[in-house]
Amino acid sequence: MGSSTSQYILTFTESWTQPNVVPSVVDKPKHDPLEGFESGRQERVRKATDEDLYWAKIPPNRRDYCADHLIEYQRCRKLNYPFLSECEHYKHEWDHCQNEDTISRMKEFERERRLLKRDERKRLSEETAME
Amino acid sequence: MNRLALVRSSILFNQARAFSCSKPNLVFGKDFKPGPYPKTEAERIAAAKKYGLKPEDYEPYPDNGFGFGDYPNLGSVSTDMKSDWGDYDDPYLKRNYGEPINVTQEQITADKVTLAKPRVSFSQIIFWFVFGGFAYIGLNLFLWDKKCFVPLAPKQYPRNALNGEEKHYKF
Repeated sequence: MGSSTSQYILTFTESWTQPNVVPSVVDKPKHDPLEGFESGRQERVRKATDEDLYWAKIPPNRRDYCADHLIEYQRCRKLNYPFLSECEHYKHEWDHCQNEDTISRMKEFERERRLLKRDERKRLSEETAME
Repeated sequence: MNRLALVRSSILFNQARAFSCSKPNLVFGKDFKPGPYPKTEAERIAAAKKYGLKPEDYEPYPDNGFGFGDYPNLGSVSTDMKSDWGDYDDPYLKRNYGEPINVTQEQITADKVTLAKPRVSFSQIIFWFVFGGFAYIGLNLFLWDKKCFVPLAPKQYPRNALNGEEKHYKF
């Protein structure tokens, strides 16, 4: 808890002092996602199709990689209303998927930060070599 | 008996007396009318005695045509400025028997207005309001580039009109 809080504070204080080594939270990562992965990476897939999302009336901000869990959850809600406690399992599945998604966002941020720091180190070493 | 009970009982008593009175309230103005403005020292002493004051405490209003005559100027002391804990004969007006009352007493009872000096003056209120506004704007300008954020990469959405053919990967 303490270390995560200090890490959180250090991240944005570093963005005030050295903005070029802290990735943006708005823009997408600038580095190639496959950089450094010799055996490649597994691609993320969304199981629900656009057709499913359209007919389930899922709003655009929910059309992420967990939308199939959300469709199942909403179907359960509709079938079991008003006994919504029947759908705890589906809700838990959706929440878990969102949690995993957030963890992957944290990892993407940390990867981008380390790559930016690596670039900065390279640049500094090149500058010293030039001198 | 506490002070509040005294005030309440006095109000109730006066109200009951007013309701039980069978004749209309007749007030003879001449009984309450002040005398002429005292010009000589003997008249001053007589007027002070009439209002139950010492001659050195007695000070009439200036004779400027308002018609206060020899009525004493008791200063701008409203009822709420007097002590709450005195053993008064009339707790509502905080007044003892025979005590002179202010010429505008009906305007300055405790339930109407106070003449006490405010704790924070109007100019101070305006000053701190303007100061607070400028401090808010100045802090905003000073700390504009020092933002806090949650360290997360932007949320990944599957292929759509915005990100085109961009691919996302697991770790």
